[in-house]
Amino acid sequence: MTSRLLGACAAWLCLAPLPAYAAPEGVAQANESYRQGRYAEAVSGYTALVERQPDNPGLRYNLANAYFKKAGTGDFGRSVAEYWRAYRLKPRDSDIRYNFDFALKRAGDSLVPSGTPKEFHWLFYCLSDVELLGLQWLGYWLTLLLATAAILLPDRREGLKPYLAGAAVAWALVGSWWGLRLASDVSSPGVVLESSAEARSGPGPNFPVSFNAPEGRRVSILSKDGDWVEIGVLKEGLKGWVSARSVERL
Amino acid sequence: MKSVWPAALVALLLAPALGAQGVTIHAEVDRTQVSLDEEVVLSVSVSGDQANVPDPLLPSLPNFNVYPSGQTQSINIVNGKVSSSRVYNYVLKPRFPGKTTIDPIRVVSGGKTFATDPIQIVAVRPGSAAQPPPNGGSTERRQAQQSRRGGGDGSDVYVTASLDKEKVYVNEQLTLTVRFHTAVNLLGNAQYDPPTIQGFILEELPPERHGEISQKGRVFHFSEIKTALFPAQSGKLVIGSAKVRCQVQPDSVDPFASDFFQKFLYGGLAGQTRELKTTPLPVQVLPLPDKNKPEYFSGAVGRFRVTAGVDRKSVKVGEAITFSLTVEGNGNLKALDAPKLPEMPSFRAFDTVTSMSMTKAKDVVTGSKVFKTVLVPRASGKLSIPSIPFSFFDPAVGDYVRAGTAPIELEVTGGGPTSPVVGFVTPETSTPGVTSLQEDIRYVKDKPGRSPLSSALAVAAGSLWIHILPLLAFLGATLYGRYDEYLKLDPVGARFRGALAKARKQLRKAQTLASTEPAKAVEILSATLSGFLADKLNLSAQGLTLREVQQKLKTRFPRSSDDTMIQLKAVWEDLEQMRFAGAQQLDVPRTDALVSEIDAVLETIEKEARR
Repeated sequence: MTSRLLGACAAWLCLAPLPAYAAPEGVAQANESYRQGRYAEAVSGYTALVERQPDNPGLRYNLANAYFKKAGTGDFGRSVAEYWRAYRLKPRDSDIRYNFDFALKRAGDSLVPSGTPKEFHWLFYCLSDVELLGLQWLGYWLTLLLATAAILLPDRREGLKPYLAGAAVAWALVGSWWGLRLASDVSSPGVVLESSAEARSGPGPNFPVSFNAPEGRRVSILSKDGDWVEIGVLKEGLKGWVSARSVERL
Repeated sequence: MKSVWPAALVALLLAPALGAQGVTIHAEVDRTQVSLDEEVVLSVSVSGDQANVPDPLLPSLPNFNVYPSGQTQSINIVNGKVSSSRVYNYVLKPRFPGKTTIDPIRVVSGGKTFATDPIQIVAVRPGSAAQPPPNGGSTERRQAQQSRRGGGDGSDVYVTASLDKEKVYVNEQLTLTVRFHTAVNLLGNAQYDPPTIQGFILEELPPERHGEISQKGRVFHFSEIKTALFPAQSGKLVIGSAKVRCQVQPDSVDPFASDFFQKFLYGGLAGQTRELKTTPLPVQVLPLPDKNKPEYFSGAVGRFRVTAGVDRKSVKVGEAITFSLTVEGNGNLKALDAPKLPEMPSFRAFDTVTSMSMTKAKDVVTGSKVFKTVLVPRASGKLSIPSIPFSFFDPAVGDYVRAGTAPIELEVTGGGPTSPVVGFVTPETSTPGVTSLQEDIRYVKDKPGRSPLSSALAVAAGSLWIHILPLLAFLGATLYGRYDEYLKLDPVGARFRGALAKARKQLRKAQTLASTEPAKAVEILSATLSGFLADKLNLSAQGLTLREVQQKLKTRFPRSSDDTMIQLKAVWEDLEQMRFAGAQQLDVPRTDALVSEIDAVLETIEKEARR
């Protein structure tokens, strides 16, 4: 019975996501627009595709590229936002990492914080949050099913013990990794869309400007008051209020 | 220029020698003999092999009023070497007649001091100058001075300050005019304290002007100083009071008065000191509007024109061209920032060198600022320097004006090994290898999809409801284990409670074997019946007799009926008979019937045992 249950779960995990794997129709057309330099048209095409498959990192990466090349008002900020979304979905993709870092450097930021070894950063972020959560659930399933089998099959209990211990340790490790990632991730992330957004000391134009945040800079949206949002600039650790239109929430 | 002082020629002759040390300086004047009502223009030229030459240090010139009159700069870049020359202009207004020497003008560079030769200037009284004045104004003024000699009451001397506008925008030119009027002769020179001005960038508008006006039948001689002001901030600003201190002749002496001689001898010839000051002037400075403000606006206010050019349009890869961006017009040129160049990945751009030329004709600060940038093409082909956007705020219109240069097309041919390299461009190393020309984002993906494993994990992470299944299985197994443990603690009870289920399992097994192995099926049936009864009575199944069983049943379960005993006896005997009759007498229907009978008996005994 246990083996049947395990088999069913494995089959479900493999077959259920198959529809999401294939690239959607319309990519070639949008790519052709991009190739010919019609970036506004490419943005429209990729945007429609992303609405159909919001969790497709490749589509978000292509959309970010189109925004980056279009270079209109606020497009650079949108480009950084899309790279960020793509990176969150597939952080080990070398193209996504490169372009995201390229765009961040233009905004005075960088993907790998200074002082952090690149290899460590890659290892810590090689799996997306969702993948880590999925692995965590996998460890949970393995551990509980092996424990169930050990209870129901007393004759094989001794043989199952090493596997059960291994699954429990793996579950604990992945769970800890996932927890650390949750703790280190930016809460309520956003990206500055205005070329030099004026951050004020309060939610309104009557408050003095505290600092200027460059377009494309990653921020954490801390609170909202009407048409104003309070942002925290991650790199410099500054807080200020900007117009809600100046920031795109991820 | 009317003449050049011989000393300046000497300085010029010495220039090559000084140039060898990096900096040369020479000075010249436009005239060496000047009337008191005229000005001398002093030009000091400093040249050097660097982009920014040091400023000259003027000696003390007590016999002149000195006014800076702008400067011009020229920069040459030849084969990557930069040289520049800056000319500083001063207007000198003589204060006293006589021969005056302008001491050497010095400039310090690299710890060394360079100096010009002294220049001699002869100042003469108006009308006696060897060089005739440009017009006859001074003669008229002299006559007017003579006509009002003898004045001296309070209204004879006064000072005014005025602005050409009361309301201006930030960085818009505002002209302050301070005018000192006198209808009497002054004893000595008047002392002038300029007003306190905060929140403005100042630009003097030399020279000092003089003239005459007639007020209420009296002729006043006036001296006028103008200053261009550029507000650096918005809001209400105030220009402080300008002060003039002067000595005038005392009141006229009445020759018929009783104390005439006393006044004449002791006080009549002594001057009266007057301290005059202007009233403060408020200025309303308007901020530049946010509406229609272009993104690339860098603060220029006035009227400007922007042009761009290159020194050549055909070039090889690696060779340098000089890209010049010129902004000219009216406004505060000193505060004008270089327009931001767009990204030009096909070029390597070096630092921008700025030069400025300024004039103040008609009291308007006008001129041009040139931003020169050395560009080195990285790749061959038809390259383009895109349009450079520039915008300024026109106060007359009250709106922003967008301007821009025309794009410049360049023909760049491939650079060979003999291509000259600009002096300050790092030469390419001879080691062959990959040379990074420019960075750009990577290309789009042709097949943007998700990996199956990533998708599977995403589904696993998203389907929360299904994750309850292993937990339920684990909890169920745990409960089962506890129950099993409980059973092991009461083996007699467990044997009693599990007797019927165990027996029925054996009955099904026997039924399956009836067609193929009838003898074995009968053995199983017999063992099943014995086993069930032994489990119920907690006896050993081996050696059980029908009599013993019936007796024990009656004893253990008093409510056992006689019918049950009869049924048990019939089934027991049938089984005994079949065991000893041989396998050939067994058939499937008979076995099935026997199984049903045994099952019925077992169920009856179970019920009676549980009562």
